[in-house]
Amino acid sequence: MYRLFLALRYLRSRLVNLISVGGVMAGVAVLIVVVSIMDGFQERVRSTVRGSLSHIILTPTTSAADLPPFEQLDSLLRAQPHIEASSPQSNLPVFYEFETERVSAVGHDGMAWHQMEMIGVDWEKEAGVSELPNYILASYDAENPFWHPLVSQREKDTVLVSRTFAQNYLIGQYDRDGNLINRYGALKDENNVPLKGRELLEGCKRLIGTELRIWWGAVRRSDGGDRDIKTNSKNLIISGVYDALDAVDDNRRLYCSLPQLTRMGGFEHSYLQAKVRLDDYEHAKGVQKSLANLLEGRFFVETWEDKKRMFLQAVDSEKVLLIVVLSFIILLAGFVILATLTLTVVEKTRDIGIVAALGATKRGILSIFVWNGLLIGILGAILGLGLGYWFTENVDNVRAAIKSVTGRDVFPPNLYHFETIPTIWDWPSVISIMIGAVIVAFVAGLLPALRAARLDPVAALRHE
Amino acid sequence: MSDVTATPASSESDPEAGAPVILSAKGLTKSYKVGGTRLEVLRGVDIEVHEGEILAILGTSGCGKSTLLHVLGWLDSPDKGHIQFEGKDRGSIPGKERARLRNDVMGFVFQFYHLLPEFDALENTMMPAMIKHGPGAWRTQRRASRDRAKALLALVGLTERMEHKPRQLSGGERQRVAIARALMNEPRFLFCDEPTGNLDGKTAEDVRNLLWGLNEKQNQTMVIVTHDARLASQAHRVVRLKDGHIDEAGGAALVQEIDLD
Ligand SMILES: Nc1ncnc2c1ncn2[C@@H]1O[C@H](COP(=O)(O)OP(=O)(O)OP(=O)(O)O)[C@@H](O)[C@H]1O
Ligand SMILES: [Mg+2]
Repeated sequence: MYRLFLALRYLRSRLVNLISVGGVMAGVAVLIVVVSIMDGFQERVRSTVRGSLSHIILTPTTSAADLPPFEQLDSLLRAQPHIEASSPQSNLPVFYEFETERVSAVGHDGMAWHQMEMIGVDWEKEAGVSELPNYILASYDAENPFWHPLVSQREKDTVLVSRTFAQNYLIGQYDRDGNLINRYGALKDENNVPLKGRELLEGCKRLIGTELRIWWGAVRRSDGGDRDIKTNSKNLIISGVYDALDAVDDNRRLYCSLPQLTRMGGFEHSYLQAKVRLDDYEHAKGVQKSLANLLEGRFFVETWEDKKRMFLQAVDSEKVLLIVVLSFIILLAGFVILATLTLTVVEKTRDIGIVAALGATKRGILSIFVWNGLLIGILGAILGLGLGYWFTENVDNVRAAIKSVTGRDVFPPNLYHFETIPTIWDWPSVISIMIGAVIVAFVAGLLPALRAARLDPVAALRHE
Repeated sequence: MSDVTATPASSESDPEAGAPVILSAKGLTKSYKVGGTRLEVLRGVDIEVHEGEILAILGTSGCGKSTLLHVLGWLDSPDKGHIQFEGKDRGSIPGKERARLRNDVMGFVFQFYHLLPEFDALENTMMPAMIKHGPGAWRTQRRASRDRAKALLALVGLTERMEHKPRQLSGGERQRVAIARALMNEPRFLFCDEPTGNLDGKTAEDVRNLLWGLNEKQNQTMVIVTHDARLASQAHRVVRLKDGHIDEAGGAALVQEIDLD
């Protein structure tokens, strides 16, 4: 009984122990907060990346003549286990032309190019494989965001642009009545601040029906079979605005209908990719294998993670790195425990001799100091849990508070494209962080405790 | 070697001479290495203590009385020699069991009190009971131990000082707390190192009465180490520690010698 009793008393009577408890608490809280935010961030990133990518992607490896019509491929695919839907897609690199005061690669006549990717999709089928339909902010026609009445009137093509792209690149855009929308970029107000809520939707409505100019190279084959690339340019009508919450890719992606893109690019293949969605991404590896067998080399089969491997690994290793670095706080707290307990053992040498003389066993003395370390660890971990929970729950308030004090937004939404800081409260991670802290405290307490247990009681009694 | 069955050394007759031997030591040696030289403190101590006996060990300052008491109380190990307690040989008993015997069967009053500074008088007194009982047993024992500790502190006249920390107590008060603590687990054997060393005449007399009363009422066995000849003279038997040996017969002579001084 005396072990805990003595441990508690020594804990209470030494103020430095509060520093150790505070250190463990800070370490646990910081780790919990960072893991929650990183998990939330990772989850958000995964879903936005996957949002436009679908689970499995097939790329044809055959000539156009051997390419099965998509309907045929679709029914073949959907007959396979775990496959729920598929959708065709083609991609075309394009340049968006815009006005600038700066000299650019295009010349010095006030125009510049922004390199982009035009993606042609089958709108009906797209909903089955990607999140794109959920990301539409506004469109002329809710059923088909690629349609606009001007198409038939002026034999024009349409394009779906992203909110980010509109804000960053649609500078000096005129609405259909010929009025300048905003000199800072579309979907922004006079102070260059991105529009939000209702105003954003109003801005989108104003933007729809306006035009943007793109350039691209279309492949032509001569009768002799020689390949030639011919430069084209065209004004496209904006038929809708989407927001896939992807800061980098949204700036570069334009969407249009698949037949339009095939025509523009002069493609022989009616589709250049088949996107496949599974019932559960868990089965991706297995389906990838069986599809590779089934399609006998006519398609190259990849999962979306294969496509984005580098990026996902970067996010993941960032998280691991952050955890490793921040674990040092707990390790540091461990060293503080080690130092203070070593001092306590030296200072309490006579007490150790006394309890040994009164019949405490070596194990008993060991556990006094092990308990001392453990109590610091447990107390610190519990306080850290509370602090970490509070911080995670109120992360956006904390962010607002930091902003009002320092004037800096620690999580600028135009960089991350999340309005709120994403967090995920994952009990297994939280509990392993706490257990880790307690283990560190235990080990830190063990060394001084062993030292205490090895003391010779009579020599200890004589200690001044 | 001195004769361990010597006639009673005290002027009083020893009522326990026929009682069984509870503690016996043979050929105890103990030396300390200080710098390059070896300081031989005990050079072959033979001693026997009978059940219910008050044995006084008299000696000059620095002659090794405390050292001997620590060895006899199994706190310290002798370099050579054997100690038997209730027939059990120290060498053949594992450390854990030794600790239990020290806790439960032997009581120690240290020369320098050795109270735990963070705990008040009551907690210090209860400490041996806390060490004795595990967390489970403590729940049931707590109240009884507390009551006993309070009674013991009352016995040594410290009812008013139970919540005082050692640093808030006088030397004599600390000594009395140390006595109360030594009695906590109702030890069969009490070791006292200068139990009246820091007390004035009146308080010393009270403590003596307390210890002697325990002996009379409970047949408490005691070894008392002292340089106070008056205290020693009241023991059942007095031996003298000199030059690392026990002088059985010299004890009584010394008592008289010092008395005359
Ligand atoms: N750990 C030690 N290292 C070196 N010398 C020691 C040690 N312990 C005791 N001594 C020496 O042993 C001798 C006996 O010490 P001890 O404390 O037993 O004396 P004592 O008879 O109790 O004296 P006092 O009456 O002053 O209490 C002393 O000379 C002391 O200096
Ligand atoms: Mg002494």
